[in-house]
Amino acid sequence: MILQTDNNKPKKLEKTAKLPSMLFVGIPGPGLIGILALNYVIHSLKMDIVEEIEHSDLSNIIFIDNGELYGPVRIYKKNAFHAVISDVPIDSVLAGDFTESIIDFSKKNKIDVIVFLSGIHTADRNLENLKTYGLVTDEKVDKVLYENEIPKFLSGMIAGPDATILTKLKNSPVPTIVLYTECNLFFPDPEAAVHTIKTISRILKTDIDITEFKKQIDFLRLQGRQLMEDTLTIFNPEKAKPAVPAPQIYK
Amino acid sequence: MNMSSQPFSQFEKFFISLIDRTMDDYTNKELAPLAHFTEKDSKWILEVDLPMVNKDGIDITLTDNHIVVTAKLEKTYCVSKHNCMTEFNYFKKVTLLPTGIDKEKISAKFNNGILSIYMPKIATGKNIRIE
Repeated sequence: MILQTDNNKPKKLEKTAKLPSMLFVGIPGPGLIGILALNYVIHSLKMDIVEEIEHSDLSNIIFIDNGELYGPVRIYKKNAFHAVISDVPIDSVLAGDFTESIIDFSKKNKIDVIVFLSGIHTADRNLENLKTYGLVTDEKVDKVLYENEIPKFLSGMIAGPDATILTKLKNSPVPTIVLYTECNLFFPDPEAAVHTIKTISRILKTDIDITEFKKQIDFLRLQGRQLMEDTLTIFNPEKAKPAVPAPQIYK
Repeated sequence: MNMSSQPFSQFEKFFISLIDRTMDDYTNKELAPLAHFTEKDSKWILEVDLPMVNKDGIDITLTDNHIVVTAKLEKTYCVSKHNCMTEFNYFKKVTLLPTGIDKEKISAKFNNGILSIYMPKIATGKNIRIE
């Protein structure tokens, strides 16, 4: 079934101050939030593929469309906005090289801010009142959270590949914002991804129509099963638990 | 590397990573739902993700060692693989029961497409005296 996409045309809101150049990053993670949200943003904004990130450990999968080959990690562009999407889970070992590639790309392309999209497990979450929290690696980008009414992620612990990625980004010269949307850790959660899309829409000052996405929520939950399972296999929260308890100072 | 634009522009393809990578039973035409077990202090909780399903279409059966969840889809779900179209109308999940549960007190709830099955642990047994 091919759906009409005319309704997805982004409408420009009133022009305000010039936006910084941004690179959004979405990889399979909790609830598949990052990849669900960013794939839809790429689709809605009609972003173009400009590059791929290649790695020998990623080469066991390739996608073919209209006779052309596409790797699993691709970079898209539209005006000052870039998006990196990975269609395969990134494990903790690969996460280091993956993040370095993103930082290198950001430096070469004069990216002002990297925005990493993820989810955070919230048991008994209220679907009517889901929240997206923000974390920054540099206080220079604190104002992006403030201007877009994104509450700050104040305390907690991040484990697994996300922790490796954040450690690298924290030490990079490119400021990073991490968006964590409350979600179900174990199942694809497109309803939570809607909140991430809305947050991206506010940050980009562009109205992204989510009507089509909402219509496909059940379909995405069905289609996302295998990727979710693959993601949990490498994410393995049980193994990601620290071997020693956190020092009292962090409790 | 420069590449042609919009290779995956149709909505159904926007999530290319999800194409043709399912773990379903093509022989019996049953979809395999995602499921997750959580152990709480006094119970086990089995959560099963059942999108496109109505509460009335869910059937839970208990055998000696297993719990079987069958759920009818509200719409037929078609998957095209290697030029062959397969129609799915049901989810089916067979899960081994944890030991030490009170089978008489198992209960279930269905909310936002997620079936939660509560299996209380047996709380009775031999008393141990503290010396």
